[in-house]
Amino acid sequence: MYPVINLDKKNILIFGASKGIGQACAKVCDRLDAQVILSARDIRGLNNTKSMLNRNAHIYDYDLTNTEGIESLISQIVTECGKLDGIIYCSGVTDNRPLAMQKPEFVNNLFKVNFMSYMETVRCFAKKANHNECSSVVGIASVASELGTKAHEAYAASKGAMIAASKSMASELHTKGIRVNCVSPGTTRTEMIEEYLSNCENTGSDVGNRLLERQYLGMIEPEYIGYAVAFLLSDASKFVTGFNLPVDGGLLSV
Amino acid sequence: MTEREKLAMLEEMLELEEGALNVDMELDDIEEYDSMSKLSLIVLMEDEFGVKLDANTIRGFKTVGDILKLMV
Amino acid sequence: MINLIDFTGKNIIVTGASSGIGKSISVSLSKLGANVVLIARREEELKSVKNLLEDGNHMIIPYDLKNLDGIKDMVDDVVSTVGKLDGMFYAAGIGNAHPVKLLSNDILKELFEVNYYPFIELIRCISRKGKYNSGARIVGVSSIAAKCGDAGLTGYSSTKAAMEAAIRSMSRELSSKGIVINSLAPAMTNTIMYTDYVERYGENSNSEKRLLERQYLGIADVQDIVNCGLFLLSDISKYIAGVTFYADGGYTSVQ
Repeated sequence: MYPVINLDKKNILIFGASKGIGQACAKVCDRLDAQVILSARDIRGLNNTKSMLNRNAHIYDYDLTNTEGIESLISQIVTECGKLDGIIYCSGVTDNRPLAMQKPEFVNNLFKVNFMSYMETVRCFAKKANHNECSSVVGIASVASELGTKAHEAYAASKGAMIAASKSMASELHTKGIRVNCVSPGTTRTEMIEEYLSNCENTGSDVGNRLLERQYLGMIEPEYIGYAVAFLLSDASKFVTGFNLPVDGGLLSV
Repeated sequence: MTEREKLAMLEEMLELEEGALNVDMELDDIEEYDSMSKLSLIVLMEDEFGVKLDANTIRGFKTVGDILKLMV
Repeated sequence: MINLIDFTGKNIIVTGASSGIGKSISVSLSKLGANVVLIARREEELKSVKNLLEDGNHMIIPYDLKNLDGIKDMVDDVVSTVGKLDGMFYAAGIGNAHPVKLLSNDILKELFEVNYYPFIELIRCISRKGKYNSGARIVGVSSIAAKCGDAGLTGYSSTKAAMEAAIRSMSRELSSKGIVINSLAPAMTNTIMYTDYVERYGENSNSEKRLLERQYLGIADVQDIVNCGLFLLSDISKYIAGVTFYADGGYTSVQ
């Protein structure tokens, strides 16, 4: 017996660690002996996540609508915690408004958190001073980029952008020993999704039900997104890069 | 905000002609008031009036006037 | 540290077990506690692979998968000897390149008879009542060729594309039985296929240079592909279904 997936001694920075998938990823990485560094806007949520871990974790509350400040945040983290071995970018805001209400200011703000700050994070991570060799970035994208769901234009676009950019990053950064992949979760049991589904119900929309029907393995527990992410962060997946892994209960295949 | 102004907001949201709505109209009779419009209404109420609509409130709307009452 | 991938007590069939990816994953599965059922044509090779395995309730079955009619009895035999099945890793396959003008019907048929028909027949038999445990995971080894066309690959790539399409439907259909199926698409891996490739084109050929421009992480080690297979066979990937998992060193993501 041996651990195929092993994150021992790896410094993993997790954006969006205060709840949902980000929190689940933190728990999985912690159990695999990673040194996790938690970031999100909500400091109470971060402390909550921290209390669920076996090992000690560093906390950095940060608002990702401030893309320009990411460079000094990462420098600060590296100074205080050491060079990073991995990043999980799980921060994201969703939309659920018809196109008519997706005005430029709204779209811009969503893009800042979902995409611009992801790009900036990877740009800074890729600087020699900030990462170790054989490191790995995982962007949490979404099946939404493929589904053409109504009232979801900005969100879908931002996830499509993340996936496309990640392929270019992967091909550019491999010489530095950095792999870049995405995980596209299907409908996962998180606060964000539960709010979205109840919104669908309240407005009499069928979208939520149809999604869950197509996702034939049923609602996904967030820890299973965490397992896929952990695999991609580990050396076991060292030949996998530029890939977008659907963890979607079959949804995109039917 | 006057009643006319509030009605105009809803008319714009539903892409109806100016003056198409009055407070007594039943929402069930308005074809344009579908699930997408309800989504728009949720966003409108939050962005313009800081009001968060919940399931019961939305289900409780019977007439145009019911919606106007919350636009404060 | 928790051990996320553990096959203790699981019964897993591996086809193409006498060499390459099939051989290596059999060894890894045994190290992770699985009982491995090794299937390939050559009995001597199978015996030497079995000697490499960690202790377990293993079984070797010298069998030519072109014999479709015998597969049902073979599966019944496995179940009555080892127990109900928890998984299958289908690594059997032939990969010869044939220009279209040489792609006779006989050659095309043979490619399907090894790469595709037995895959379907095995799953048809395994998914019958009493032959599998709920939570069973199946992985078909496909190839980037299913998606990326190239001269000479017409026959081979079409068998892999057929496998991938079948997997999407079978996984949907068999989900109610608790069976989940995915395909694993490697790029060029350091096995006999690579040795043949170098023999055919020569060392450091232009063809290989072009290949490595896209497969920019280099030629895969067998163990790199095996690790992805282990992930797809394990419980922790149970919400991944009908997916083609690309272990391709970047190949399908670049120009």
